Amino acid sequence: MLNMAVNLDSVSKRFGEIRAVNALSLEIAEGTVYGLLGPNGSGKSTTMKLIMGLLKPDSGRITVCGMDPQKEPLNVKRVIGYVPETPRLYEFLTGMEYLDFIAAIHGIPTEQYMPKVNRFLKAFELSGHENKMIGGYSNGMKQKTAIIGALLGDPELLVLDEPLGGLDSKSARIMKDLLHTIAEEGVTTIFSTHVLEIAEAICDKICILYKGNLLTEGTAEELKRLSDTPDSTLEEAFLKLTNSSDVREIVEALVY
Amino acid sequence: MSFKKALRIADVLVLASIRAKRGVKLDKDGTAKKDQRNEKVFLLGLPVVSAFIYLLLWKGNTPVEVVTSLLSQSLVFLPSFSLLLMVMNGLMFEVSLSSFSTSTDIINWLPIRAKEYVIGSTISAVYFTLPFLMIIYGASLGAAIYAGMINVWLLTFTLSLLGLLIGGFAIEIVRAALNEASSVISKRAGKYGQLAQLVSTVVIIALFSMVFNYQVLLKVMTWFNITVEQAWFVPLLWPSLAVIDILSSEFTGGALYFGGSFIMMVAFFVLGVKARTKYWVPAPLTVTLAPTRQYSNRNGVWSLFGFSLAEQAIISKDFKALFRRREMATFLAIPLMLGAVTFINNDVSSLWDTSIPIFERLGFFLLPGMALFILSFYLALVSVGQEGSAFMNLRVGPIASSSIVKAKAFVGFVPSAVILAGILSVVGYVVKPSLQGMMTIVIVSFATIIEASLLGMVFATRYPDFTEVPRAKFISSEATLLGLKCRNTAGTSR
Repeated sequence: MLNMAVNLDSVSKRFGEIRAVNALSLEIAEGTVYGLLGPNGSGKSTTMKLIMGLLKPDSGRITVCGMDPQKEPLNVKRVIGYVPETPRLYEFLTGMEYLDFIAAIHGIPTEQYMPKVNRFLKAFELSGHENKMIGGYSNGMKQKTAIIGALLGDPELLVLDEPLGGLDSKSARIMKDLLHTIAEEGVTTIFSTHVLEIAEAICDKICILYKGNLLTEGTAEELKRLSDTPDSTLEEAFLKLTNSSDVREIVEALVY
Repeated sequence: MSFKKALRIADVLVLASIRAKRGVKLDKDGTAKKDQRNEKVFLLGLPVVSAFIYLLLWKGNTPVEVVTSLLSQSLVFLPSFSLLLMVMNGLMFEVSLSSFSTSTDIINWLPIRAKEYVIGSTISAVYFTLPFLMIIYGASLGAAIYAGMINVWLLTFTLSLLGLLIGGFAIEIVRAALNEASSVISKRAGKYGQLAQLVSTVVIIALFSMVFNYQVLLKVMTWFNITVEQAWFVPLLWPSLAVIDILSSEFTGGALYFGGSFIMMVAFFVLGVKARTKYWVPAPLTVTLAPTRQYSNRNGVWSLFGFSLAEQAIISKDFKALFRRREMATFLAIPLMLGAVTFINNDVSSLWDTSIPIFERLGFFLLPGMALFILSFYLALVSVGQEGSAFMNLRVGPIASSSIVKAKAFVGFVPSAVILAGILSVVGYVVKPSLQGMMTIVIVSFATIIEASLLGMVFATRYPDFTEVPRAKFISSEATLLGLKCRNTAGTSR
């Protein structure tokens, strides 16, 4: 039997009148690269924040690596690496000072993180920029720094919100291969993306959220079959499943 | 050039600045209300204050000669003061802008001519400076009516408005020059460039704050009236020199200085436009700092105070923020400003005069002591909000809220404690109180800044404001007012 890294059992979360997540149940096995897909406002970021323990569910139960994020917030955060959609770094620190800070917060010994930092800096072509102030970094450089920060503490679970958005093609490829490699070592990754080719290329399993509800879940191939479009792309399956297949008419209405 | 576009730019800059400072108030239907406090002061300042001053002088039956003498000094000072205030106001606005805001400045990416931006920016700066000046102009108008000097007042008023515009255009030159200078210095000098920038920012803010201290202002005005005529070659003083010549019935000289002032305003406008066009940098600076040591999160000096590794990391990060973020310079200027005011307003030699009771000599240190209380309070008050959106790093990190609060309260306390230790050494060496007295002073003063820091933390944790653009806000306005009330109560009880 597979060990579950993340388990959501009928989890709901409302913001006033808006039901962001509605009785959502998910089981994510250890070592899975799990893609959260859905249109804007479908509840992807809320789900990630619930898993991180940053939001408290109105009802339902969440388990992360066997722990309840609300009851053991610090222990849960110790095993999670998180990269938000927009990198939120301290602009007045240098890249290296930021990573040093993150390592200290996670209590990672120097001898453990410095070799890793140097390897990542080289791989992401940030070597030579580590002593520059983050305020002068491009968005891609900030994104890479945030990714290195998330990987510093050997997380058991990686939560990545649109992680490849600001990356150049080489870094994006490195990131994809890296996710697969660490998945083989048992690291679970949850990430949201709007780029369906990426989801198709790297996710072992994909779930599609729509207006806070779980629309469907499975591998890319299963989703295509489900949408009766087995020979087409995941994008077409996605549009069909989310009732957005009228895109052509909308574009025509806009242009003509 | 479109003047209409310049007015729209001014409108947006004013709105952005007001909303960043005072927040947005909504109508019942959810639309944003227009904050019209400045307009009200602008319109009512002149008639209300002038009527009040006139009635005051009339009721007190004040001798006209006394009013004439003081008014003449004030009228000479007013045009230069208006210019100076405008420059200081502009510099203050500049130092309080976040670097993100500077790089996303609309001039960088919208089809706006430098001329239009300079005019719009100057009008918005005048908008914020003029209400305060209207009160001063109003006071001088009341006195001028009483003393029968309305003609000279009208001329001074016109020259003051001219001074405002000169100051506004000058600030555009200064901003562009600062922008260029800071990018050159920061790129070449790294850490020392940053330090130089911090020191200059602190000094600017301290000077700006002193402009509003009436005792300092009176001293400067007296000194100004004595020396201004010898500095005729300084174009920035020509508006004041025009008033002096008119007061001495030297109308040719007055007209020349007036004309010169007008030409100078035009010249400053042209230079401001050129400087904006040439030196404006659309991207944030890339500053490289040489690492002073191998990065390591080993236990440092703060561990001596019992802080964990993560708490030490927050302390270290927040100290870097304090000395690297220009928005934080405002707080560092507090002790400098109040310290300078103390030295300007008091006779330092009296400290050594043993004929004066010790209690009175200790009074010399009251204002610097208060400055440290305020510094501790403010550093703690803004400590949570200054994280901005990067607060996410702490939220997702495995660190307890109590550790964050502990570390941040400590950062609020340390700078004041270091300065306090210096002041107490001076007190011990110069005033020489008894051992018992000295111990009481030490205990009470340190307890006071710890209390200020903890008080600040109460509001910082309850009402943080993470807004960063266009200005870093740090704390909600309501919490600032509430906190100030509590701080004053606590301070008075000492």
